[in-house]
Amino acid sequence: MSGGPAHILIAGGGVAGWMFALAAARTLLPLGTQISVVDDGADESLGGHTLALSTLPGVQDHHHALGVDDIAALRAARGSFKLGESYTGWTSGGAAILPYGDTGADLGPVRFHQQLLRLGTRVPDMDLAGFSLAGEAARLGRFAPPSPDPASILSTLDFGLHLEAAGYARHLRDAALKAGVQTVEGRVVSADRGADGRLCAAVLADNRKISADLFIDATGERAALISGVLGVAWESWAVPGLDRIASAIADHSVPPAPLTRNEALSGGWQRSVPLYGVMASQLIFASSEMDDADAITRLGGKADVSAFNPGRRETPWKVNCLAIGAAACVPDPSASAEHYLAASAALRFLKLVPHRDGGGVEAREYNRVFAAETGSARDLAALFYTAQTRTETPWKAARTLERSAEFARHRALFDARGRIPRSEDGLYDEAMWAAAFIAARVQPRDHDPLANGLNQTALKQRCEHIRQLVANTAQRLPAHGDMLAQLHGGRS
Amino acid sequence: MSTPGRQISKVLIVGGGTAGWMAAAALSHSLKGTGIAIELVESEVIGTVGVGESTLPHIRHFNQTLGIDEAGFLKDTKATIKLGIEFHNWARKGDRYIHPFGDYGHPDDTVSFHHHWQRLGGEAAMGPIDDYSLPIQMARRERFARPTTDMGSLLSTFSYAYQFDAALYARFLRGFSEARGVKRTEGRVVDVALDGETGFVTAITLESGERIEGDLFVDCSGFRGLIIEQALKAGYEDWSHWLPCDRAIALPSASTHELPPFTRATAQEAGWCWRIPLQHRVGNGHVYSSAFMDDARAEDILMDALENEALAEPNRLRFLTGKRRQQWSKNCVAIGLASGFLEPLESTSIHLIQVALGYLLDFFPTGAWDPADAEEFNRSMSMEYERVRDFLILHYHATERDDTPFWDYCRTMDIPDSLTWKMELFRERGVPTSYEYGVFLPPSWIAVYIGQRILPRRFDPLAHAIPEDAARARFTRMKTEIAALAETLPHHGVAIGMTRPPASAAS
Repeated sequence: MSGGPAHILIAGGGVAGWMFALAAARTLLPLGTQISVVDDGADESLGGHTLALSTLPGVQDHHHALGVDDIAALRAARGSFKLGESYTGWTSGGAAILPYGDTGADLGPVRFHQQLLRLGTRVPDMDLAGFSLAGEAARLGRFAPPSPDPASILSTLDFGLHLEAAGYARHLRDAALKAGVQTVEGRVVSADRGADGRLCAAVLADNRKISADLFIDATGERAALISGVLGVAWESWAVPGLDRIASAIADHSVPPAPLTRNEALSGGWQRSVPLYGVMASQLIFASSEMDDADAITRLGGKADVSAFNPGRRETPWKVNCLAIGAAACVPDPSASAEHYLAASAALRFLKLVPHRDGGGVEAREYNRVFAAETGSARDLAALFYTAQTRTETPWKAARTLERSAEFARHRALFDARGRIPRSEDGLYDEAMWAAAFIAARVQPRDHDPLANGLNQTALKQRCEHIRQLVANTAQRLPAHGDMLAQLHGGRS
Repeated sequence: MSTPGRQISKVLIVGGGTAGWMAAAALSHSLKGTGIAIELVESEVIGTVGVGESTLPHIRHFNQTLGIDEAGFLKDTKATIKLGIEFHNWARKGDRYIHPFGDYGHPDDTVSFHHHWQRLGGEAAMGPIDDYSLPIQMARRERFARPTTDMGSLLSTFSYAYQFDAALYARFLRGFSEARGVKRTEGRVVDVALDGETGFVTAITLESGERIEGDLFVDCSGFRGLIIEQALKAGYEDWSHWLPCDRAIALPSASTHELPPFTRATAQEAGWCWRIPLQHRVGNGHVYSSAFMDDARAEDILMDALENEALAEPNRLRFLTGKRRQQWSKNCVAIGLASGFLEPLESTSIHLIQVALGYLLDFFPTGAWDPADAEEFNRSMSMEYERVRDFLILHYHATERDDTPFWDYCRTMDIPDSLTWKMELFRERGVPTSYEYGVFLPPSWIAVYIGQRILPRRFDPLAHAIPEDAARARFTRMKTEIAALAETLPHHGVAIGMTRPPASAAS
């Protein structure tokens, strides 16, 4: 019986590479496994366009499992808190907020949004944020950490994080090195394969070769190993009409909002991730409507522009090579999925650590869950592209985005009565899917008939009570900017 | 029939029995205040199958949601506690293991206990894996205490279900439902009327000539599927090539001096016998394949298996394993045996009723009859059925028995790809597949794999993170603690408030 791998080589550092290294170090170094990262300092692991991460709630659990200290990571990455997302310009009407944490409260089997539908609220007028402490605090620019006491309304808060990729990667690297990971200065460009088809040595740009048992491809969209050597195909999720992406990070003196903004414009849409002292922005745009120079100007004069090519690898784990980060999947930025997918990749691998000569069954199981996770990220983005009602040419084209069977199922059920199907291994729970449909202004034809059992007058009073409680509490929370100033110790 | 904006005003449940009355109870509870009327039609002449006496822990959630008090329920249904199922003679004659409702070791370990157990030498060095499960040790000692939520305690490592008289449970739920406005009508259905245009069910006619209309029809009429199949021709997916048992004989016997808090399933020549101890009697039965055994031999085997005198004449049942292709068709939802049949080997019949009711409430229709609701219900139920099916097939297929043509068939038959993959993952690497929806969590799969001699070729390399001596000392201590704790718990009969403790407790 053989043991685990003797040497794991991680090709490329960056957020994905170093996160993987840190998680693997904590578990595998005690077993005598050697872990090395070949890194030239160019963080391409999440794709060159990912200058900041805007995470989902649950990031704290991932950090705990990975061995990352939330506060230290926030400090290193000019971090701020994220209480939800806002959407402007996707449909007519004002901004819609998708709040994190609890929104209202279910009554038995009747979900909160069904209660509002039952009261006759139309989705375009439905302001979920008003019934959510996170949503209301986001609107007011306030923040407080959730309370562990379930009796406190503060326990209904939940949050994600905004993290600058470069600072976060440095933090992860420092922690990994401290844990005993070795680093090799260099750039993996290829690998040698043995007669059995497995990779046996990574080939560096300077022709050095490093042998290992298991290879982690964190080379980003380059995918030097999984694509370059193993030729695993890419499944494209390209959005018709929107083919370019510009990314920039620039000084920003206004205190950051605890909210990621998604603003649709005539020739594309802009995502703004507010960090402490800086703003990270992405512009996903149509080259037919806007040239690169216009895009750069819009982002403040200094930005990287590249082709926008979201999608995923058909099988990120093949023989003894596992692709992570953008080498495995480039989710649409609107899915807020980069951090989740990177963390989940490392943690799932650690549940399926192969034997030195193994990997077949583990890879299959890993790839099965990968397909479900990335599928949900693809579908959430598809919701916004297909539900928007803009009339410009690229947006009309975007509406023709191919819908997966899984998404078609979600859409049909929500259209009918605002229901969300159960789906496995996805990134978003039922409440978040419902909030996303509402933020995308999808109006169901009817509501849950079980809601008809509720007394309208009592229900109206109850909702009003929740709204006032939320409003009163949110006003009293500390300003997000002050919280951050304290956390970052005045540094920016 | 199909009017947008129009709401369902009446649900008609066809058939009483466990499925019918569980449906009536769940619907009357959840539709309270909606103005939707619920009527149930049943005939005392037809009677119920009522073999589903052994349940899964989820039933407790069903009862809790309805606000049912456990003590009253235990008394009224003559229920006992069930901590798992004991399997005899499945992989080899003489084998014995319990599939417990709980974990081996402590579930908070990064590496699942069975990897440690195997690393330390498995059964030869560490003793049976059963020794590391509190519910199994409780079961073997006929002891029981309710689980706690204190994660540090061994008492948090298990769950429990019930064994009860299904007919009494149906009666219990009938009282519950009638108190909540469900109208019960006695009568035998002789005709089902369909709308000429839409094919939707409009009404049923009883033998008395009475015609009863409805908007949503819940078919709980049993195997024959009075509405779903006979009227709507939903079709049936036959799974008998994977699960060839197609007959059962059920027979109650008098209680013995024992009161085991578990169900027993003993493999026979061409099927298996169940033994389910209740407070007032023992339920017995023999499930077998008519292709491999005649009825007379099957009855002899059942009679031989009885531990005490029979209390009734044998009740003979025929079935075809599989599921209705459309469990929700038009305005009819089939629940219970009308929706399909999976043998009671893992006590899933009542659970599948409960699951179907959950999905029905999740996707409860309106008069618009949006096809998305039925599609989602059917998709979800197919997944639930298939996951149970795979788990059942595993029991037959993971065997070394070659003593009868039946076992030769089961051992060598082709199995569904979904199960081939699950077995391969466990055999190679000891990883049980996990899913969010669908019954049977990883500990259940591990119990049956190991109990039926599917041992992983290799265990998780992370098990090496603990030095071998330390691991051995730790788990040996755990084994001692589990046994010692089990000894201190109350006797099963005492724990459920039986007024007359069985003889073994008094001795």
